[in-house]
Amino acid sequence: MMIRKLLSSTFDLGVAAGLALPMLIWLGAAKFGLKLDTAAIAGTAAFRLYYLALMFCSLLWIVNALRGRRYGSALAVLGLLLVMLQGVWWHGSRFSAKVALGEGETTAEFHEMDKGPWVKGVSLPIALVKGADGEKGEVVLFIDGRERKVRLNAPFFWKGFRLKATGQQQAPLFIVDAARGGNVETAYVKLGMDRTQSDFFQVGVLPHRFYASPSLHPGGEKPAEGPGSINSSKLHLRIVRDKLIIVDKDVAMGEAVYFDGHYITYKEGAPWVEVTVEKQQRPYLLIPAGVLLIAGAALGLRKRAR
Amino acid sequence: MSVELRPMKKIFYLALLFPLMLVVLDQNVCRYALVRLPGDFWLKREKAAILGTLKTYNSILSDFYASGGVPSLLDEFPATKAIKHGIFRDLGYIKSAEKILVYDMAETIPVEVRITAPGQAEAVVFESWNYMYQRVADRKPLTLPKGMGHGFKYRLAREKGKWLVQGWDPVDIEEPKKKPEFYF
Repeated sequence: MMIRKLLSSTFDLGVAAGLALPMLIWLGAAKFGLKLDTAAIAGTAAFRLYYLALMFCSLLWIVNALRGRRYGSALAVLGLLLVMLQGVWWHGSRFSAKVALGEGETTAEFHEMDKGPWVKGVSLPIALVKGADGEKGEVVLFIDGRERKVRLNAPFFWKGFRLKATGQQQAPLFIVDAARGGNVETAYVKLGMDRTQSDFFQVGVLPHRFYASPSLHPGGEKPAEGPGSINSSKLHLRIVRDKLIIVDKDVAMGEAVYFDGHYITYKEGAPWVEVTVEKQQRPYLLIPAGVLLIAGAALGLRKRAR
Repeated sequence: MSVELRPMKKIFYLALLFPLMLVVLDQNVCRYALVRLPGDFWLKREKAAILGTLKTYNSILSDFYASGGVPSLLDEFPATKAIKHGIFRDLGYIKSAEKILVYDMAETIPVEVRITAPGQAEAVVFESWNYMYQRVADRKPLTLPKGMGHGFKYRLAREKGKWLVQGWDPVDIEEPKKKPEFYF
C-alpha cells in the first residue's frame, strides 16, 4: 500500500514540470546569457541533481504505469528516459584535447583537455614523421603503426576520434650551458602555441622562465601564423626570474645570451604541428528512444479511440 | 480546487529550490552570473576581491624574499601549489649563491580585471618594484637599489571561497598615466 502510494505520488506532471522547467530555463540562460558551454552547465551540482531526480522519477512513473497497465504511457516515458540517458552518456564520455607533435618525437602529451568522468587513459599512438612544405601542404603522420598523409586543417578520423592537424610551426633547438662549462639542457621548444596557459619553458633546476616568440618585424607586427611564418633566424627572448626581467631582447640564431652565470643559444629547429582530438559522439540511444515515443503515443491514441 | 493547484505548487517549490541549490552548491557560477548583471555592483566587489588578493600575494612574496625563504606565511599566501613551488625554487637558487633578494613594491596600478569564466579571472597590473641583493651572512648590500616597472598578467582561480593566483606572465604595457577608479 505504501509502495503504491509512493509510486503514484512521487511522479506526476507537476513534479516532471517542476524538475524540467528550471533546468531548461537555466540551460537557456547559461548558454545564451552567460555564454557558458554545455559541459559547464551540465556540470553544475544543481543541474545534475535535478537531472538525476527527473530520471529517477521517470523510472517510478514507468513502474507505476506498468502496474496500472498503461503501456502507452510506460513506453513514451521509457523513450524520454533513453533521451536523458543519452545526455548522461554524452556528458560522461566526452573527450576533446590538443596534442603538439614535433617531427621525430615519439611521445606527446595532451593539453587543453576536456573529458568526462568515464574517460580513462586515452592513448593516441600518433607521431609526426614529416612536416608540411608549403601553406596547403600535407604532413606525414604515423598513426597506429602506419604512415598516413594528412592535409593541414582538414579533419580525418581514427577509431572513433575526429582529428585535425591545425597549422605548423617551428621548434628551435635551445641550448643552455653553464658559464663555468657544462651543458644544463638541450631541448627543442615548440613555439607559436596559441594557449590560454603560459607559454614559457624552464630548463634543468633553474628557476628562470624563458619566453621566446617570433621577433617583431620593423613595422611592429608579428609574422602571420602558418608554416614557416616564424622567422627562426631571429627570436624575441625574455628571461624572467620571479618578477625580475633579466633579458628582454631580439636574439639571432646562434647568438649566445648571458644570464645569471649561464648562456642560452638556439639553433635551427624542427617543425611541429598541433593536432586537435575530439571523440565522435554517436546518438545510439536516440533511435530506440524515438521508436518508443512513437509507439507509446500510438498506443495511447489507440486506447483513447476505443 | 486544491487538487488542481497541487501540481502548480510542486512546480513552484521545485522551481524555487533550483536557484537556491545553485547558490549553495555552485557558488562560482552564481558569482559569474552576478558580475554579468547590468550595473557594476557585483563586478566592483569581485574586482576589489581580486586586487586585494594580488596585494596580499605581493606583500607575502616580499616577506618570503626578505626573510630568505622563511615559510611562516605559506598558508596565508594566496597561490596554488605550483606557484609556491616556483617561488621556493627561486629562493633556493638565490640562497645557494649566498644572497638575499630584497623586494619592495613601490606601486601597483591595475589596468584590467576580467572574470573570464566561473571561478576564473585575469588581472593585468603595472607593478613598480625596488630591489637589491644582500649577503646572507651579514645582510650587507651587494648591489645598489634598483628600480623595475613592468606589466604582469595574473591568472586567478577561486577555490574554497578564496581567489588564488594560478599563474602569471610579464606583459608589454605602458605605465598607465591615469590611475583607474579601483586603484589601490
